[in-house]
Amino acid sequence: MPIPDFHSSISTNLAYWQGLVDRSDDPALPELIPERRNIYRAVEFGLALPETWRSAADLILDLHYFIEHSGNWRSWQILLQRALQKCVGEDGELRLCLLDRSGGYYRQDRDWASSLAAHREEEALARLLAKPDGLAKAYYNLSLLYWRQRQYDEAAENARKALAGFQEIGSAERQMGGAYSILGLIEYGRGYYPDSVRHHLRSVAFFRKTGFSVLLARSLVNLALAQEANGEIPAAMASYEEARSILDGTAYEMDKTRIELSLGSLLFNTDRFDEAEEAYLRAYSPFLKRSGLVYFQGLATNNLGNVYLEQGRLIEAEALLRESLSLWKRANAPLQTANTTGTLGKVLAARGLPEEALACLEQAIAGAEAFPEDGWAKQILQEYQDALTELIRQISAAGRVG
Amino acid sequence: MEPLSPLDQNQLQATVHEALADWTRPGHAGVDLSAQLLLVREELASRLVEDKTYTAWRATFAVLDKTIDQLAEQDEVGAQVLRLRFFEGEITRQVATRLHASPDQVNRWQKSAIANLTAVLMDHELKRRQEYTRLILDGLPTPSYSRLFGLRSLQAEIAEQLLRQDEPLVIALSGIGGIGKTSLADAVARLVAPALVFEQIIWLRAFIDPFAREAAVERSWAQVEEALGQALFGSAVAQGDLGNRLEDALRSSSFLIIIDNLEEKDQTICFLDHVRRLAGPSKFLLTTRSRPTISAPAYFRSIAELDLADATDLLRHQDLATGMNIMAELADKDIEAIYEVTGGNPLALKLVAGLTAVMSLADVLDGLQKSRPGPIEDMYKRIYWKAWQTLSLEAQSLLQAMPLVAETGALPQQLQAISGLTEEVFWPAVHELFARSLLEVRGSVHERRYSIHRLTETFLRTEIIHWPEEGEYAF
Repeated sequence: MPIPDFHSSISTNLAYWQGLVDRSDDPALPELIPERRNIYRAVEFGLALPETWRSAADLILDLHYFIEHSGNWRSWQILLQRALQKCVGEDGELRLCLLDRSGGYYRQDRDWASSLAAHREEEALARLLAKPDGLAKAYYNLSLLYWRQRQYDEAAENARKALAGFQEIGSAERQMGGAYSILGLIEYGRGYYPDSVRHHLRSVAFFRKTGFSVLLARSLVNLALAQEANGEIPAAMASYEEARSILDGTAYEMDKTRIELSLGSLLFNTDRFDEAEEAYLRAYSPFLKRSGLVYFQGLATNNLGNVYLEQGRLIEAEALLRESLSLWKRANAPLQTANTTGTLGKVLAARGLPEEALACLEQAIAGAEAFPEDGWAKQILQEYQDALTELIRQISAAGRVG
Repeated sequence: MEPLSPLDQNQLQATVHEALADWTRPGHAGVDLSAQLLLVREELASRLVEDKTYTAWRATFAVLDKTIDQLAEQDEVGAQVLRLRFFEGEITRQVATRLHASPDQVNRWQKSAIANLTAVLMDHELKRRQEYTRLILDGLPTPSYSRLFGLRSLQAEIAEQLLRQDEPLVIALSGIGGIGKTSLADAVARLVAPALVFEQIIWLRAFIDPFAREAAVERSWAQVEEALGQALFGSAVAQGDLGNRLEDALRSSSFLIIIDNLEEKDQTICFLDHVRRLAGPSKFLLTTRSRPTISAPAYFRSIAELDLADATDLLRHQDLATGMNIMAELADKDIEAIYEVTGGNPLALKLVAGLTAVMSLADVLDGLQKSRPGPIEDMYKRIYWKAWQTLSLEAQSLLQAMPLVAETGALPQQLQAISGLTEEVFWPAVHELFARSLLEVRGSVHERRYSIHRLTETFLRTEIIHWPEEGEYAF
């Protein structure tokens, strides 16, 4: 066995890192980034001893935003699984928290099956332990998981259960804000924009009370998207502005990127193409290009391609849309692929390449038809069917003239 | 990417003149300065993102165009002459009329403007090369050595192999623990960086996780793969996507990936299989304690032990660095005796020299001689035991806690916490361990980090703290 002094060093080491985590003002712990490997090693050793594994597991849970920010879910998932192996019997509450995180990291990794297994176990355990807060949290996690897969009925059912659970136990603003936020996202996905705005307004109201700036900013962006879809353009602009000012000067680059992308879309949809281009170029920053945020890279290139199509810069538009298509493939995003393929069809039609354009539009329509429940899919389906009809009319007219 | 050619003002001036003249000459493909200028390569790369049809010739023109703008700030007339002659395509007589000067005067202005333009271009190019090199070197950990001994020719040889455009794509430096593989890899990286052949140099360290009960080798690769993804793409790469993204990135640009600290034969074979798939044009430099087979898919170079002269130099250097002042007392035959025992292994030399500060040379050498010849591990075990037994209790407390520190090193605050030492005894313990070559100091004067050599960690784990043992997983 290790000599006792080393056990004590393991324990002191965990306490040292826990102290720094507790004292930090920013939950993402940017000052601890250079210490990433030392913290990981502290937890790894801590998990190996009967007297320290609980402290190690607690430290993992407190590092949540640090882990989320670093994107090292896979490495930390290994330690979470090790903690879960230890955490049996009387440690039910701790196990609930570990399952919550483990399912979340699997979701971030788009490993839907493992995420579902973790959250289902979380749900069953919360029931067994008669923990209404844990049960509501499990429903919330399940709603997020289904929403990410665009399975809106299951997502809505779980979101409603989560909200009812949080209300029943008088949960904190943060949980309530989260529940309304997911409800708003689901209604947005279904295309019920007034309901989406209503839910997001309530979500924002709850997050204002938490003092957790990044969550408020995220909620405001969701609200802005719903407001825009609902035709409330000035209100949407105001929501974006507020979100921007909240994040100004912070290190939440991913959230800033998201704001610029969404704001750009609002400007685009109101025909302010030059301003939209500026917003998208701000989004397509060195940070985004360097990052592994493939989904956002796909959005930025797709959106810029759309702007260039409107501005008649067809060569640039085509290059960006093709880049976007390769990114969607990597991000495993079929509906976005369909949308970008349709836009590429329009670009090719404008470039006088009707055969290639026709193939793209047909592909886009087939892709959108695979999502009959989705509000946005319905929109783009209509858009590309119209474009296809128009293209066929033009080809026939050209044939007659020829 | 081809290495950038060294800058030669006369040659560059001639090429610049040719490039300018070519711009308006009909039917010419244009002069491409991307082999000479990083500025042109960067211009080309940035524009290709938006326009796939952009060419090196257009990038050359764009760079010259911008440089003429800068020239105008110091030589307005010269810049104007160059624009009229080469961009507007006016003949000398037309320019002379426009500027109210004689054709001879215009020719003199033009000659002087091309010389000035080349000087401005050289200045910018040199600054940009220096900035870029600094950026590349920022990716390397701070070295734990201050001078390289006995490895200069091998350093040059490996650097040359890495700068070649073709094979070898994977180079492995093999040798026993403590022989200087990491230092050599670092020195090679610093030698190749200024050639700007590699867009980035990424340093990764491999581990066999002592906590992993199964698939430890594959897990070791998975961790390196994840760290490589982090270095290339920043954060957040989804699991299923990582392999393909790495392949895309490493096959479309030229990176140098250094993977340090491979220990076992199986691990080396596994890593070689993986990196072969990712190599070209990117290259890999591995350090390993084992050499699997002659047919392994890599260019293997073994690091030999130091000869007596280099070993003596190393000891003198270490003596100065640690302030031990023992070399003055050692006669040539004493140094030869140390050399005899350690076999010219740099880490062993330093550890033995450290021991002579607290033990007589005879006591140091006693027992060590018995382990030669024999497995290198036996020699190290004996040296480390002697070192351990002659440390103060405070230094032992600190050293014993060091396996909790990652290879990146720890700040003093963490070390003090895990060693349980008070401020008064902590720093003397640090100094004692450093002087005895048991503690490596990294970083700059603004931030110091402390770590231990992998062999020191192995000794502590196996001999002192007995970690990990099978039973520890069973509770």
